[in-house]
Amino acid sequence: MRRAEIRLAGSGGQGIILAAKVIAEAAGIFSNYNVLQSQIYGAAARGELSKADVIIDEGDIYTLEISAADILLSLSQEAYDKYSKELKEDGKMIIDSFYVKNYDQLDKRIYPFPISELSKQLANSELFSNMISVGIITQMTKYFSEESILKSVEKNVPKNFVEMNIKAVKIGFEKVAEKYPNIC
Amino acid sequence: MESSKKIFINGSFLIIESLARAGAEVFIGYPITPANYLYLYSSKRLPLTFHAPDEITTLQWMSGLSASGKLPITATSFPGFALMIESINMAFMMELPMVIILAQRLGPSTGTATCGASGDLLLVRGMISGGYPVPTFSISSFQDCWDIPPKALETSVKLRTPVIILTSKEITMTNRSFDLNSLKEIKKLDRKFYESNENYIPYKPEKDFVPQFLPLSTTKHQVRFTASTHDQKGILQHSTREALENTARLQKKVLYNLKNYTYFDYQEDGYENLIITYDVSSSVSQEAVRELRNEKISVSLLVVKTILPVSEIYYEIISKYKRIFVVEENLSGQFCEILFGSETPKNVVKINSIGNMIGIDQIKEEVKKNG
Repeated sequence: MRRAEIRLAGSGGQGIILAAKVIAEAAGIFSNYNVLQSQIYGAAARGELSKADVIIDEGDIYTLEISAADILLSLSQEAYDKYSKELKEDGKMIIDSFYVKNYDQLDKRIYPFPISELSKQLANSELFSNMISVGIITQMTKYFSEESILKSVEKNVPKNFVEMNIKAVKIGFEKVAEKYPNIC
Repeated sequence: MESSKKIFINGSFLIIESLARAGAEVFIGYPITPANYLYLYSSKRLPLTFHAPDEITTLQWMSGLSASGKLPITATSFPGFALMIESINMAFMMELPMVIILAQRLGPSTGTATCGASGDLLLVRGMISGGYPVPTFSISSFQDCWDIPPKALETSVKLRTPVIILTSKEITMTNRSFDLNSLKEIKKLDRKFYESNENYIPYKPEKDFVPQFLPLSTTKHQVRFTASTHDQKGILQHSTREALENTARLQKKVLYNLKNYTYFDYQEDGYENLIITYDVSSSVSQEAVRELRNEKISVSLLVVKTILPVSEIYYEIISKYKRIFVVEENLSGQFCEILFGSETPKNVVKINSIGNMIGIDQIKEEVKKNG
């Protein structure tokens, strides 16, 4: 595969950093790629912008941050506003359509999903938005297998919450299959 | 070490693990981003961890433990480091071995906690009142996170001095997949204390200008650690010749022994262009050099790992080249200023950035434009 540059962005407290770690380990530990994951965050309590970049490559990785993303996840309007211009021409942007209301409807690179609504249906909470996003990214990119991502979830989330997080990832898989069957 | 194990880690883990294996015995600290992972791993890995109420206390406790023969380490970022400086002066004067890891972030003041920078070099260079040098190492890669800290610890013991390890957010908080096989075994430091039956004179220098160390709590000899101007016995003096000679020796020991702790990576390719760099800029510089060479442009690379004091070896290398490019993540080019002074020579180009990391293309453009 060619180098993949993924940027996950949202508000502090949405679990962006954990989602990035799960994706990075799915590629770097449970698949045999080189990966790098950097992180920037503000205070979760204040809901400040949070961002994590993941670079996946077969070769060595020298750059520590990405300038334009192949995959961009925007879980908040602020994240969309700040990073939507930094998407490659052939990139894909996944947005939470509940929080990102103001976006370019004509941009074919944008794939809206009601991510936080799906999380509320699953657990009456938005806590699982990050893992639903992880499932969507896995299915839309095929950078690594479903098996790799599930193993990575199991390794990275607290034991008591593994089952719910895996359910959330699988919801992500299903929604892509339902909404964009051509991608799957 | 387990064979063929690929792990996903950040630089903080490697720094602390290497220090633990080399013989660091105690971590004392007060949490601050981006040094928090260093704090976290230390509390799991080192025999002793003390959570200090602030950074001034951190350095005072480290000094106490160092005086009693332990090897203490700490990690902080600029706001905490600023509070430590007066006590680092004390430890420098008392000649107490210890390692201070400075994880740099974007300043001034609290700046941006999760944004990297290489902005504290001039501060470190000038932090000892009187302008005395403190051995300072810079980590430029994941491999360095393993290789450099044990050398820093060894230098602090051999020279009886605090040493600084400069790193930054992009090393301490960025995770990478990493093959543990690439890491060399680390030998535990063999530390020797004063053993003779003759009277112990705490600041009587050996040939290398470093006095032998004897920790507190010994019953055989009297031991003194003195922060104010003092003679070889550690007795406070106003400004006697002997005391001033002892103070001047603090500079001599750091400079005289510099050749024994000068570490750098030099890749020679013609004598046209030389890129000098350190810290996280090394990674992109390395890749820019590779790409430029593919385009048949001759570029050499000097990655500086012992950054202070500046070794004369660096000047010997620099003197061979027509053009020099100094790549560093700060506003004004701090290492460039240390190397060449306030007025940048005509054949020297600074490549700097704050807030955004310097890119491979930026370096290539500058080399092509000026080369």
